[in-house]
Amino acid sequence: MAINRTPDDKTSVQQADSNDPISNKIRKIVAEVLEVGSEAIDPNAQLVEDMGMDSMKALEILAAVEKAFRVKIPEDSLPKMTTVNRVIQIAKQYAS
Amino acid sequence: MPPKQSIPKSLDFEALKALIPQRFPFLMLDRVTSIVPGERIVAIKNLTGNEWFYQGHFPTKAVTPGAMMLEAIAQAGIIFFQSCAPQKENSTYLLGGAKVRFLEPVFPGSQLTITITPVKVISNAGILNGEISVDGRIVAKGEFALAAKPHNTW
Repeated sequence: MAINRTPDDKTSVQQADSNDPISNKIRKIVAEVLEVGSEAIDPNAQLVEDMGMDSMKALEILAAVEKAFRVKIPEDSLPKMTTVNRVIQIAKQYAS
Repeated sequence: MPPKQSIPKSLDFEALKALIPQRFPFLMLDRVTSIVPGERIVAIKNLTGNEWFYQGHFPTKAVTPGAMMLEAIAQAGIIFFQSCAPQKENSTYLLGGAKVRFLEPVFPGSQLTITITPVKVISNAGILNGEISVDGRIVAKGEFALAAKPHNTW
């Protein structure tokens, strides 16, 4: 369940929108699981390298996102959860 | 994730030992009374006054340590996990986060009924709900994360 950084992490996703309720909710979820203030969340920061996320915390984020948005997200999405923006993108993909 | 077809509907003490690595003095399950793979398991632990932890917790009034009740939940979690995502025999199980509330003290002579249901289970890890009841009253409940790690990976 390795979290792999990919070269296009910072270019291929939309920026987190502070007015978007999905983005705001995911920022709160990530902040709570990683035990940091939500204001400290840089949506493009690498969750593993920069914010100390490990595989169990990634699973906790995934489960919290599933619960919050009542969606089912497959296991193979876990390695793609490299930044908050990526998590937002994945959540929107399965919520739509 | 397909459930493990070979898991029976209940497990006696010897059978459950085949699925979890813990042994005396850290084995906190006596029997698994119900297994619905991927959905729920129910296990029991009978607490006698001879349990090793009552010697020190506490010398003048035996109270079951919350840590040992969490251990019982975690061990039942391993059985649950094995029922829906069978692991290699040389796996060790590690707790990640655990948010558990202890609602009532538990004393010698109690029978713990431990119920595990899933929040999210993947091939080598899971987030599970655990609940312990005694005589029909819930005495502890919470959510915990569990991961299986093969010995040669850490």
